Amino acid sequence: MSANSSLKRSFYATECVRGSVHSSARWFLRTGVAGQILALIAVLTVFAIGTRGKYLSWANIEVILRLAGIPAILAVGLHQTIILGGIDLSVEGVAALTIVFVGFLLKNTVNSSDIGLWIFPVVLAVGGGAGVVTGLVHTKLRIPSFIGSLGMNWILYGLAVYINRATQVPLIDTRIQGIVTGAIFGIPNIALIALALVMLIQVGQDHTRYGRYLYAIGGDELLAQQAGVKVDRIKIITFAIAGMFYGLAALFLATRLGSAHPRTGSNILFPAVTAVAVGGVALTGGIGGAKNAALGALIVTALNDGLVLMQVNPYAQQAVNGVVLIAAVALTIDRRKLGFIK
Amino acid sequence: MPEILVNDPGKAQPTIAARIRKWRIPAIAYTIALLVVVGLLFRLGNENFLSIYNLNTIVGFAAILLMVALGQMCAILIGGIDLSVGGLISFISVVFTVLVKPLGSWVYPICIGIGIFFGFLNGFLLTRVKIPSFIATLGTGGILTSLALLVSATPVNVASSTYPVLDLVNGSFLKIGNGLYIAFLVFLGFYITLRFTVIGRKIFYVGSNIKMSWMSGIAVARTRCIAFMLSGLGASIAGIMISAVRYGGDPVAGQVYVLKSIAAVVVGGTALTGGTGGPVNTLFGTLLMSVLDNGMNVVGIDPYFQQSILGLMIIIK
Repeated sequence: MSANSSLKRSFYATECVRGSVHSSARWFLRTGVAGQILALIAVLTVFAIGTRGKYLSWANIEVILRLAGIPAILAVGLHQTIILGGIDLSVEGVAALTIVFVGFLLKNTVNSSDIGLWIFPVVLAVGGGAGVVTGLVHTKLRIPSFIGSLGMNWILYGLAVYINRATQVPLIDTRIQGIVTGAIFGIPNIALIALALVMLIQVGQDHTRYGRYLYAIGGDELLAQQAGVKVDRIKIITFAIAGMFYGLAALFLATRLGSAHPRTGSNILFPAVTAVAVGGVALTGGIGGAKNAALGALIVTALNDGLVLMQVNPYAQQAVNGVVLIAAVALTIDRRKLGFIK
Repeated sequence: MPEILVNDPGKAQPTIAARIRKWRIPAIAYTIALLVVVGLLFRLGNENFLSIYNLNTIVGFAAILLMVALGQMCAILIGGIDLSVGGLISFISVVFTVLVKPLGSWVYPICIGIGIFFGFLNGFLLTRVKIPSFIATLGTGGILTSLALLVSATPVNVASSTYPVLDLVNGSFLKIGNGLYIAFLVFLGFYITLRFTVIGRKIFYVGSNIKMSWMSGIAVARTRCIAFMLSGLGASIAGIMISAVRYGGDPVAGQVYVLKSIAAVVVGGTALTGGTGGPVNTLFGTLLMSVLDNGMNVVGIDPYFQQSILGLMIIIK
């Protein structure tokens, strides 16, 4: 939350709320995710009524947490590029390329390789490498990030299918699958992993120099440059970190399904962008953080889960997501900063 | 997005493209040269490449792609982008197939009307709700894809009793298919609109300097809305042609046209920043794309690797 708007919010909080709840209400508004928590409660209430309580059973909440993990990891990666004032549309391409590597190296039925947990550094390297290339295309060739990353998406996806020959590789590695599908005290591991990553990035954004630079560039790129921030370097690092997150998410996706195919990673961009927008990370940059992105992923997953429980036509669900995406962007975008919108 | 608003934050380094542009050779010359070179290369790779039969295939594909690309060009000329053409083509394709039996020939104006309406919706989201076009059209594209799947989740065929209605597209005159005449007429329409009418000039002005054109009293919002409506028009004509040629609609027919239309526009020399380029550029860009598309198959390049090549072309250009 930018200083100005949180000041304004706390001002309204003082206006509306009096008495002993005063300070706790102000604290709630100042967290920056007040709107998102209210939206989540609204979604939960609507579906709880709609499904006569079945929606709020622990079994269903566990399903939501399990499903929200991967979109949350993707959203936490993606939202950093949006804080910069850009966007990274290469999510599906990076995921496809990573999944191809996962299929080659993890224990499978096609070849004899079995590297076990060493897959993590490989996945981070592939994702990070792809992110560095996207960052270089964006900063050094001076191409707007959305078109540069869209081109990179097609390049990486084509490359992935070309390497892999579009074959399905069944994975028989149980170690990583055990991590992904397991649960501790009834809470799915994937949700805990996502939570750990969210906290890591949130602390990084709040308490490190890199985080400050990120928001400085998102707030006003020209000003940040003149203040001595190495804008290009920070941008490339951010795209690389984002790429690592896509790689991790793709690894979890493939191991959970137990099969690696480049198409496994298709259709993950749309939920991720929707999650980031719903979380309140403005597309104009400089507003929002990891906690927003993660909450957005939770809201979108809860919404889709509710639609399934209400037996809405699955084809209509993407239409609902499209409407939610446009509405969320329309609500969160900072129009003063845009001037003319392209 | 600030990176579009602030053209060159900090140090202004001329890109490779800018250095080449200093020599003042129009971009279209490169496209035509590339077209000739690529054509000759594919002729060396497979001598049937320039056969009448294969040229017919190329032109048939180019006619459909040209419709999408002309619309996409209008969206790009004003500095936006239209990612919803894929969804719109799919939607029009199934709606056309479903409606052709009850409505007869009326299906043509109705489908075009639907396309223009969704173009207007994109323009409305951009100019009134003020959402950047790439995110707004990503959203409407998702909505349209799922609408197409709701109308028909599987490919559907046109009833054979309505084949005479489709003869408007499928028939031929003087041994040349009607699709080519339609493509030529639509191209002429776009050329005249952009070159010789007030709204066409306004689209170029708004694309090259939006603030200045606003100060000069041009109705910026209306102009940008019309540009997106033209994009919807092009996509709907393409959707109609696809279902007419295939005698059926497909709810995922349009997906490939998003990449191909943007690539055709950009390769033709219309800059993604807006304001430069035109229909003739797009015509040659489309021809180049069709030759590439067909030629890479004819000489046997991996179809999945072709996608990488197209993505690379967008970035380099």
